[in-house]
Amino acid sequence: MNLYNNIFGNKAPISAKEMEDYLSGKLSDKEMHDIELRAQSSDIDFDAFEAYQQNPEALKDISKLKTDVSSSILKSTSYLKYFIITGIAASIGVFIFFYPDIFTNQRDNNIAQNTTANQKIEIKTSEKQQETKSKELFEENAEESPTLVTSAEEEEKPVKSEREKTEIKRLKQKQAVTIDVLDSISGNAKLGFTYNAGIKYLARYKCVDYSLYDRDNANKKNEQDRGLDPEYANLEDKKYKRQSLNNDLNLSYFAYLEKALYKYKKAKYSEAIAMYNTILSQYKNDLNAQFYKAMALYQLGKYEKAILFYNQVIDEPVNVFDQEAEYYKALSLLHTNKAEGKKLLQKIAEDAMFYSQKAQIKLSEID
Amino acid sequence: MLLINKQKYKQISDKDLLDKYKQSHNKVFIEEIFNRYAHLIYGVCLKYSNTNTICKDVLISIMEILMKQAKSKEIKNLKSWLYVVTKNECFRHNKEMAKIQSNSIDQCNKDIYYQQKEEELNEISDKRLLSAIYELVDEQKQCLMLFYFEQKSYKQIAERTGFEIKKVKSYIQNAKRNLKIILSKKIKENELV
Repeated sequence: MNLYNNIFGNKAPISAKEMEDYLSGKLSDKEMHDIELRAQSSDIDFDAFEAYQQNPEALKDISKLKTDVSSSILKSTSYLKYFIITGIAASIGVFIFFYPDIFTNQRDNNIAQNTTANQKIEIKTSEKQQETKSKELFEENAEESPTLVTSAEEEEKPVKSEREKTEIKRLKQKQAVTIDVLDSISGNAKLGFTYNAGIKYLARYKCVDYSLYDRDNANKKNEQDRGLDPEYANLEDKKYKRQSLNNDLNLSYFAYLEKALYKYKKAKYSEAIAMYNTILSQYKNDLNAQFYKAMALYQLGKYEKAILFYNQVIDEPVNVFDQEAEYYKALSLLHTNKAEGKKLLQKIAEDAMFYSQKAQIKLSEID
Repeated sequence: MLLINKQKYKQISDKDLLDKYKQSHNKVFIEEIFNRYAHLIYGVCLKYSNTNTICKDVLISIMEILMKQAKSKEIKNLKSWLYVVTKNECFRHNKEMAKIQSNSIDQCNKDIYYQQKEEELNEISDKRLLSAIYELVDEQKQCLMLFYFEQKSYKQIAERTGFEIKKVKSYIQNAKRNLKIILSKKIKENELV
């Protein structure tokens, strides 16, 4: 090393520990010279060295200061990234756990909002457009008929997790033991709707809440007694045809119905009908399956078949879908027997119930 | 594993730490710089600020500036850079020292000038350096030679010369500064000739 580097060359910075040792006076002359040499090597070392000589107590604050600043700038920012990522992942996880059907329901909300907003415009729409919108109109009706406490709950919290739904179902099953059915009948008239049964919403569709009633499973098929159903060629054929449904056999009634309603909502009408048939095979007079099967048939353009099921619904003593069934029966009749359909629409229009206005609009379009 | 890495970083030079940070933006390298210089920055703050309370703020500001500038700009001499920035931050935080700030800017310019000339000065022969040392005033010359050539501590120099330790320090510091000025002048003269 030449003389220049000896005087002006870069040297390692003095550490806080070395500074402390120097100030304590316990170093030898050689060690002291080494530190002084480094202090003279740069302005920053020199000034700091001088400052600590004047104020040796300040060195005691260094470790705490280092920790504070390091945690506030360096470590916090370096871990902040991981903290944010973990936080977002956890939030998404919790969100998905509690709202598994959010995306489907969100889409339904949009449809419902659109249909409500377009309600006035529908006056000018053609008959054809009206028919294509019949599905949406029905959904709208389901939205607009909150009469029981259960429906109000649904309106307030349109998106419910499976867990919440199960809780509600369990609660109602418990209530069914203690509450008289007649209690649920009282006060059900609102907005031109009258129900004589409890309702609940599945997949945003109105349904009869059978959990409130003690419904015997009298129509459940007993294969041992009845033998093989004639619709199947043999047991293998039956096994094959019912394979797709086997996975759902362990589901509860409402879970299965909800699944079927989602099929309907996604316009998979044939699949939905197959599922409603399964329900009807166990509960012959199941109003939900009857009505939504009729709706699916209507959507498929099988109006005559649809009318048969609408009639069944209308004849049922449990009165939940009677107005809808009547209105859509009228719409179906317009395709098969126009005069009869028109007559029924006139009757609905005069009833001053929920569908009277729609019936009037429809009539004006026909005329 | 982290401890091993930290030990490994201690062996890396300032320049390499800055280069690695520039490439990776990994704050581990800045942390190592912080550990090396935090107490020195704090010491400079203590010297140039009126109150100790701003020292922590200055330290945080400097680390933030370093993290920002090291990403885009090249810092050739970290020690000098930290010194200049620390002093400026102290003055910025301490409005009463506004006058000194203007002086410090001159000092900064000088520092930058010295950095630019560093490579040329490195090539100066011992003979030329010694001739420059002989141009210094006696006190400065004596202290400088005892300190650098005879490896004496401030205390020993003070005992031998009878100067106060404070004076010894400032003589050595002034001697270094003047030496650089003399050497730079000599280089310039040679270039003109």
